[in-house]
Amino acid sequence: MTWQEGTAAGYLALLEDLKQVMTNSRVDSLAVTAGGSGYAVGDVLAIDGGTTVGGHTAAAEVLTVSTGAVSTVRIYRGGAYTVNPGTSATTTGETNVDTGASVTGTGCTITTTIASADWSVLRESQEAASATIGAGGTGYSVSDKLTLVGGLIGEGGTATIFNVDTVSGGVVTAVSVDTAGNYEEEPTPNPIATTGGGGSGCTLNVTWQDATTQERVLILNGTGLSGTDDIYVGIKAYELTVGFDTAWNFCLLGFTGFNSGLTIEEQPGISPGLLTSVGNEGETDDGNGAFVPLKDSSGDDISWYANVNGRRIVFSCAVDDGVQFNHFQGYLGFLDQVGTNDEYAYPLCVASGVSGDDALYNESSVLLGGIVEPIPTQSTAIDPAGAFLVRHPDGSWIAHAAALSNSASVRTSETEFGVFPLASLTIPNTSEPDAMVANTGFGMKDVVPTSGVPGTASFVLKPSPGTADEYLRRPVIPFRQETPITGNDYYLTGELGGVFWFARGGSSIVALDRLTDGDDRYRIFTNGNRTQDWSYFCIAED
Amino acid sequence: MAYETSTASGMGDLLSKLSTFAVANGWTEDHIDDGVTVSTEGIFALSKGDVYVSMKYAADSPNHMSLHQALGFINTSTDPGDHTDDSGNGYNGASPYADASLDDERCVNDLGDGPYPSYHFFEKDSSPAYIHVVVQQETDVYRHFGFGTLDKFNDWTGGEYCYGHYHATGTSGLTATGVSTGHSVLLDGLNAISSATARRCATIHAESLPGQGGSEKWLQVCGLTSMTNSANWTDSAGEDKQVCSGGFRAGIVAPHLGNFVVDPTTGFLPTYAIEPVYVDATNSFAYPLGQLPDVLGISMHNLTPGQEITLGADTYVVFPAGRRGTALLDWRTYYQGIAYKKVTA
Repeated sequence: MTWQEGTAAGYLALLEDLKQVMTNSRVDSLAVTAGGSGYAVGDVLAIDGGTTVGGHTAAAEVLTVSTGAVSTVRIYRGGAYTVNPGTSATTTGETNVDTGASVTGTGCTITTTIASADWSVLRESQEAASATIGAGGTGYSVSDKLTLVGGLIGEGGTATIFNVDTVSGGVVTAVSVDTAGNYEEEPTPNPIATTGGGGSGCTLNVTWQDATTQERVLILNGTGLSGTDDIYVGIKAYELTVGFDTAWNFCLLGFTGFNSGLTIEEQPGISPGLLTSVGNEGETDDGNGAFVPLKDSSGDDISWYANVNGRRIVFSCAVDDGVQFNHFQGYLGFLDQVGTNDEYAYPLCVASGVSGDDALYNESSVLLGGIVEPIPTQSTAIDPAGAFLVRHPDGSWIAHAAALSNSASVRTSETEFGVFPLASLTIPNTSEPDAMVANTGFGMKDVVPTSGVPGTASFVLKPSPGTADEYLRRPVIPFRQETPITGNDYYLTGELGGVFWFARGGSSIVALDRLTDGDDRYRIFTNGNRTQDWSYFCIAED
Repeated sequence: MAYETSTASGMGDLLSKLSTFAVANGWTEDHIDDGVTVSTEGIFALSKGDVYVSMKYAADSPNHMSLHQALGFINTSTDPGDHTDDSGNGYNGASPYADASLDDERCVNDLGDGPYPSYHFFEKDSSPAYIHVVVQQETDVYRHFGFGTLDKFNDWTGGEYCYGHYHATGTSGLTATGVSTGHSVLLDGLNAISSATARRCATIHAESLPGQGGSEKWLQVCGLTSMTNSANWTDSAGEDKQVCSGGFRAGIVAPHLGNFVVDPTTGFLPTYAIEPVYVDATNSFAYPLGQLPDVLGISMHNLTPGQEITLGADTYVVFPAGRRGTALLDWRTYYQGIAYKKVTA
């Protein structure tokens, strides 16, 4: 597993960052070769050298020092590499993660090893950057428009159009990009045939680049922890006009396979979210899916944080809405499922906190959830509703939620498919033969409100008492009922890997602080625009 | 760590075997008196580290077995309940003991004098040390008591616990379900004690917790969230005991994940940890304290009493909280079960 973090100028840059840290080698071990001097515990040291991708350098966090010399370190960021920094790499001090102070120590060198990428790109939207002439054809004139033939154009995409810049006796001698286009699968191979203009027979050798327009598709293949799995997930970044505002969001998707001849909407076993075109606001199935509200490149950057391994990526994005930072998450990949791989094959989870494609990152009038407190924006009449989607062993997708934004009874209306611990079940029928416990004793209902928006809890769940605060972390567990529904028989589907709920307990903790447990670190986030004590959670930095 | 199972001819034999087992595994036998050779009261006392427990019963007609927890042992002339900083739970009245008196205090009620078809001792002698006991009282009926130190969250002062087993009797015993508030099982945050029965509860040693009085040393594990029944809420020194909830039949995890039945799709059978939570009712704060070590809640729906199951690298033995099943019989607890970690090396 690897912790990664960075900043991105808008949602498309964020997509590129996530791709880079998932699909390139990362540092997987660190050893101090020279301790240097002047360092402090918590100093973060960027690793120099090697060949990075997208500027994603690895970094070490100082765990122990001996009279200012670094003794032990842990991986703070894994980075993205094609060439290992290697033996005795020099370091550059950043800031101290505990105090925020600049690092003043010098001379620490570190030896690194890197591990191969866990994920690979199966599809990424492309647009044309330039072209040279394959065959000039005949009968063309300057300013003719040549449209490329072929390729796979998905929802929101367009074909590439070249402008004829020069001709010689009707033969095309130079072209330039008129409309870059946007392909899920670009036309191949070069030279590529064209249509349009006054002539015929012109073919072009096109140079492609990652799409820079507002619609962008990324499909990834993960190999699991043992390298033997085939996990298919995707992200579609899109721009959507919402009244007088604009949403620049991600739609998170999962699949059971990949077919290069099909658009993302047509991929096998696709999770809900693109059942109709993204952006058809007001359609009856709006609200289906797992969406991440983000922003464009204007204003402040998006700070992002991710824990990646071969089974999944879980990421959180801090987006400044002008009043506060909201934190939006995504989870793509396998749950740590209950049951063996034979008992529960392909436990794919596609989760966010928001189910509406038109959600705005700076929404203040409605509750926006996160992966630990997913909140559908539509009523339960829509099935499935999102925003926490799990593929059931029978192949169907089940939407889970912790609360409903439009219900006065926040946590008790969606109990058939909930997310523990914030979807709080009640056990009303204690006469059931299978009842193990009763809800009349002290429980989660006393520390998390079961009604009201956001509601008031009877008790504050404090850290466990001791010399220093120790916060009780609990796994995040989607649970479900099975048809026919039997009393209070709920079944635990699995755990979100690396994600833990905890209660802030009235402390001064804020999002992006860290919890420390021995050598383990956990980064703290909130769910969407929630700020209540019980809406906090953490992601393991391992 | 150790595990032992055998039969016992009666309460004295059971406790003698427990004492022998404990000593063999590093515990100290502070007092042993089967009530026949020395007096009319059976008294056994064991300790390890800061765990001090005594068990006492009417030797002439054993039925209820009283359990006491203290923070020290004075001498064999001192009655259980009178040792250093005793928690106050467990009958400490007129001697010799009368069964009727024991019933309202911490005890294993109506355990009888055997013969017991089987007993099971689960022991760990490294920190956190414990001894957990399951007694097959009669065919299909199981009782539980134990003592030790919690697997604590954080480094608060204390953590030593002792629990008996109170099963609601009479008419309510027949009709009660496993989630009856009349029972007290393990560390039990569902037991709705009254003023008269407040001392039936398990206790946990804790000092200097937020909201706890400066001289207070004990928490009372029950189904309340405030100390509403002031009578009988004091220890032997007259200090208040604060409220502790959560545990086996309540808590932050267990009441919110349903009935813990077998997943029909994957065959997965979930378990849950038993976690007491200290409740500072004055400030409306709750503090997770730790876990009962090596004991889990589990559904017996698809399991039989005494069955061994494997969880990771560990073997657990499962028992019903009382009697498995729904038939209208004494001691029934439906499918509520308890899994104990079995370690023999």
